[in-house]
Amino acid sequence: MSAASNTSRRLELFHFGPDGRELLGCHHVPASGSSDTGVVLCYPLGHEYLQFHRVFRQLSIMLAEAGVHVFRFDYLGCGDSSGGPEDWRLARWIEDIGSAVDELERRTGVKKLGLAGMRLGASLAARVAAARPSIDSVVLWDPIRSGADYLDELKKLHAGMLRYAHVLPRPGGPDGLEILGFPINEALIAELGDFDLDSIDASPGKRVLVIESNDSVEQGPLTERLKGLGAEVQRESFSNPHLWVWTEDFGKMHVPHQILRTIVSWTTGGEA
Amino acid sequence: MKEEAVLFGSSSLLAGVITDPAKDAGRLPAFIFLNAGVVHRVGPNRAYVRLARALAEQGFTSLRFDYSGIGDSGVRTDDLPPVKSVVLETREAMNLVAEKRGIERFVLIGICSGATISFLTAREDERIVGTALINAQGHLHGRDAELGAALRARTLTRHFWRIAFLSSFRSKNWIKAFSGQLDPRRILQMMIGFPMRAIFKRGGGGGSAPQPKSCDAVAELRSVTDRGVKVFHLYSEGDEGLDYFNLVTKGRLPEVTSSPGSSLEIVRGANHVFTLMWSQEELVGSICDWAQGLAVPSGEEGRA
Repeated sequence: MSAASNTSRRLELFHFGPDGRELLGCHHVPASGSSDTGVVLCYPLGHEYLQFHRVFRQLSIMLAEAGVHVFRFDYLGCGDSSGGPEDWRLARWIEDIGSAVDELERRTGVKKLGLAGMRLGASLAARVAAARPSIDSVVLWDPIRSGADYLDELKKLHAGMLRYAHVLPRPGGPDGLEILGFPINEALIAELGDFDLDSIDASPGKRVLVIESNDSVEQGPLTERLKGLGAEVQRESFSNPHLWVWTEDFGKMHVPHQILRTIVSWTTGGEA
Repeated sequence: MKEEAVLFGSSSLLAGVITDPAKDAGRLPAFIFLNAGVVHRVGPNRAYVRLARALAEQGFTSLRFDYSGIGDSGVRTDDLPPVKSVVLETREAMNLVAEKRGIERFVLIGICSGATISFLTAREDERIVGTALINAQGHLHGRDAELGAALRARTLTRHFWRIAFLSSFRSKNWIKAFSGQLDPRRILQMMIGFPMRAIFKRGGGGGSAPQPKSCDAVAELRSVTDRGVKVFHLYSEGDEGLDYFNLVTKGRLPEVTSSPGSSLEIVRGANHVFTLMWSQEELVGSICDWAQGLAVPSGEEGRA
């Protein structure tokens, strides 16, 4: 008797990219075997990447079941990709998204391409899509609009962890900025300080779905900006504060199926 | 250092990454990383990736992978209970490394449940020459479920009293309590409710509940160390596993730490998943230091 589910048989796992900058890629082949539609998923960063890995895997399976090629990958210095936190740069991750798009196109020849990202991954996806006319649609799940505000939000979460968790700070004081298990280098801090998604000057694809589940970042101004750039924008709100609580126990993380179903429906041509 | 993504096991169900050292160091065992709870194979705060690469610098090959139903691995459809599938899949991981790299000796390493599974698998597979158990709990009392439940209640009691009165975090916790940042009902439940339950379990039910003293942790430990397996217990000060370990080895700690092949280290000020960077550095340093002792194949220490 086979011990594997159908979904696992349609998974391909590999490294791609040049030597010294190999990225871990994960291709979910659609249930139909072939399709002219593909989506590249863009993870969030740091502790959010760990917290939402399962959510992204579930989304990949659902999209592949619906007939879409799905490509997930780890940014440079993240997950199973090469490099470490010293390599963390927004500019490099934007290049990584471009490489992932190229890889999916090379492997599948898809004609209709979309990006779907969460938090910082959504913001970077929007930047890439605005610069690549071949990208047709973008899902922005709680995109970071201001890098400086994002950093402040993370610092507050980290301070909360320091108050509640059984941890003592580094003897002799902190050695640079760290946020919930990951160091944040000076160059990234500077890049985040300058990052402003609201100033985007080209539409990231013809169709944009904005998902709002984190009450701390209101997506109205970005939605208006994207509409002003000519995009067909749909905004959906699913207030879910529990998703955004840091916990040591990732086993308590839940998968927000309503949001995932909305993304799948919208991506495959239906209304969200 | 080189890394290779792999799908392996029954119907290529399991997903993993092999990390190889830049140069073949020869005759070293390979490390197999086991999932920490449901955190996928990169480990809490990417600790497994960091550890795998640090160990590769010392010449060790390693495989980090996801059990079925976790991370990128598929879901089993054969109804095998998890307690059996984790051991089976750990063996499949060792088989893969043996087949692809020709290595026949292994060290199992894991945080939390990964540590517990490491120890349980080491009892059953003679290819295992070492286990690095990080914040392990529930592995040294056999498989008696009733005894396990009694130990669990007593572990929690010890944990909350130690954290409140003896740990490095005690002042921080009392400040939280007095400034109203902790729920007083929760404190009462932890400090009084659990002890009451533990007492009830011991004294109630017609005295039939098993006593923790009936578990022989030293014998459990020796069931693997007598075979030449090196066992390294590493605990964070803030972890409940340390209270379990103290409970089951009570009064016999010298026997545990002086047993050949058995060692213990505690990282003061660290939490369950080593969130702060300094504690991650200590974790990597401790594992790499311990791994140096694995360079000599077991049974040849006297000749080395």
